[in-house]
Amino acid sequence: MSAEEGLSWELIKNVADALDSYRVRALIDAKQEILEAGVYNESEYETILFKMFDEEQLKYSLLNYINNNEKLHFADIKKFTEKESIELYKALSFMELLEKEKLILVDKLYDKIEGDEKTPEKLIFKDLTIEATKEDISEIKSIYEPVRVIFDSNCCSGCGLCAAICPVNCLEIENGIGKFDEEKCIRCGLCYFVCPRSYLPIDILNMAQDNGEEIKDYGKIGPYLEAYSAKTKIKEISEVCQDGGISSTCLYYLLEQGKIDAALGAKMSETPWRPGAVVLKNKEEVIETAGTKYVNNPNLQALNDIEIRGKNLAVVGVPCQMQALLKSKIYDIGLPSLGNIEYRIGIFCMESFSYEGLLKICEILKTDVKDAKKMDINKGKFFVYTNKGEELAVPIKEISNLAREDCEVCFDLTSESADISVGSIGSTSGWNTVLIRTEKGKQLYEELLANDLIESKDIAGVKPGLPLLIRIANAKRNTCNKHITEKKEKNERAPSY
Amino acid sequence: MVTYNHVLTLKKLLKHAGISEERVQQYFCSAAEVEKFVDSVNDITKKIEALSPLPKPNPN
Repeated sequence: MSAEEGLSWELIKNVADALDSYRVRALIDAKQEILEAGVYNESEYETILFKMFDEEQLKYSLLNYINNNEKLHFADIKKFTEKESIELYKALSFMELLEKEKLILVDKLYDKIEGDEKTPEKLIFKDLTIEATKEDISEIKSIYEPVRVIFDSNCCSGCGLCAAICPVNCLEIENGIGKFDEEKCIRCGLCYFVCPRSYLPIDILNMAQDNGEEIKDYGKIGPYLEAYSAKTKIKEISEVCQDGGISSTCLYYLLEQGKIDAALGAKMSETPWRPGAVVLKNKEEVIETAGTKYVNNPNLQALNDIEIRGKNLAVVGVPCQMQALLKSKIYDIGLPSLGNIEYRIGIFCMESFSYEGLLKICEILKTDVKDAKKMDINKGKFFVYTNKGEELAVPIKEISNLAREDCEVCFDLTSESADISVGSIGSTSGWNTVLIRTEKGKQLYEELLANDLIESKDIAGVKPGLPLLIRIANAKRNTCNKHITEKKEKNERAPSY
Repeated sequence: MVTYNHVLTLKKLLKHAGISEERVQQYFCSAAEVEKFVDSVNDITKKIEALSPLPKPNPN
């Protein structure tokens, strides 16, 4: 029969293993509940199921490849990618899953370069060895728990992606706190799978950014192609923006040119200074949303908006949101609307505050949140500019206890998983520091320049420039490592990076 | 009904993987319906024989 041409024993074995996989079975078992919840229709459900099935087949194909060999090395993984014609980072992402499911043991070997007073010691990746544990696949228990475990262990970044993709709508992020409906949950584990705080293989994320062929240390501010200091030339934006207005300019240009149909961002709600997720459809709306909001906002939750399904999107967000999007791009399971995110525009983020925290800051500054015109973090201080023209400031050190506890386990200052990262650290007042990380981001930036929408200069000639950014990024990394170690010592759950 | 839907999904997945969905069939017959049962077995045997055999595992 022509329908069955090219079948091999390996393929049949992989199909059988994939059908036995917990994740595929969970989706099949809950079909009725998923369709009744109305988040995904039947054809979307099938897209997800088929994609998950394909992914699991590839995963087990890698496992069988490992099982058939004594001990594998990094070069063998490369051979596997050629055999299956997939990207290297994809193969490594499967390896990561198999290791988490305890089906294989991976040992990474590094060369250590001793540091001195000036340079810290450095680890350089040399090779890895993989061995199969030969466990029975059907004995493997699901490692994909509902993300409630992340909420309960105070690790939730509040990015909102879990709530956006949950097939039965049992999750919601409100004011930075996750809510979980035990009754509705079908234990499919999709939320855990996309969560940036469950596990986040940084090496693989970095590799996917530049489609590289090796595991390497990208330094304190992640992989980037070029770095600039820039500011907008669009007058309406420069009047309202936080610093250089680059992220607003990107959206303005993309929407104007029709390169995207809509953009996701944060906008102030009715309550003063409390942001809400918003879908921007035209450039006028972009101008209304300009300026930094210091209260945590689950932007990505808006991805469950049926209206934007299948449309080309750009997302502006903080590092954890960029991590979530890049992670779910690597572990692609065909979720509608995630496949159409064309641009990831990342913002620098040191920490965010809960709304109550922000109100307390205003209390310390003896002002009403309603009177605040602009807020800013600069030179170690939190500034509030009021409508009356006052400039109030408090040192960050005095208010850092008001920041979200969950943000302590975040290592990323500069949105390392974005296409293009924008912030103020390193540039002079009124300018943005811009890190271009991917080819897509580079193309966008070049188009902004070609259309004379921004003013740009090489950051090498700017003071304080990248050295300051690297120093602060390093400080955030160190704080994060400290908190993760503390959590582990107390036997609490911590994100696995 | 649950099983019925599971089998339908299974057929779709097999087809998606390039394996003929004819290899899985479902019939409903009670313990009293002897003839129907025999017919069902004959039916699936005929359908599978029409397909070429699946490849065998490697000797090792």
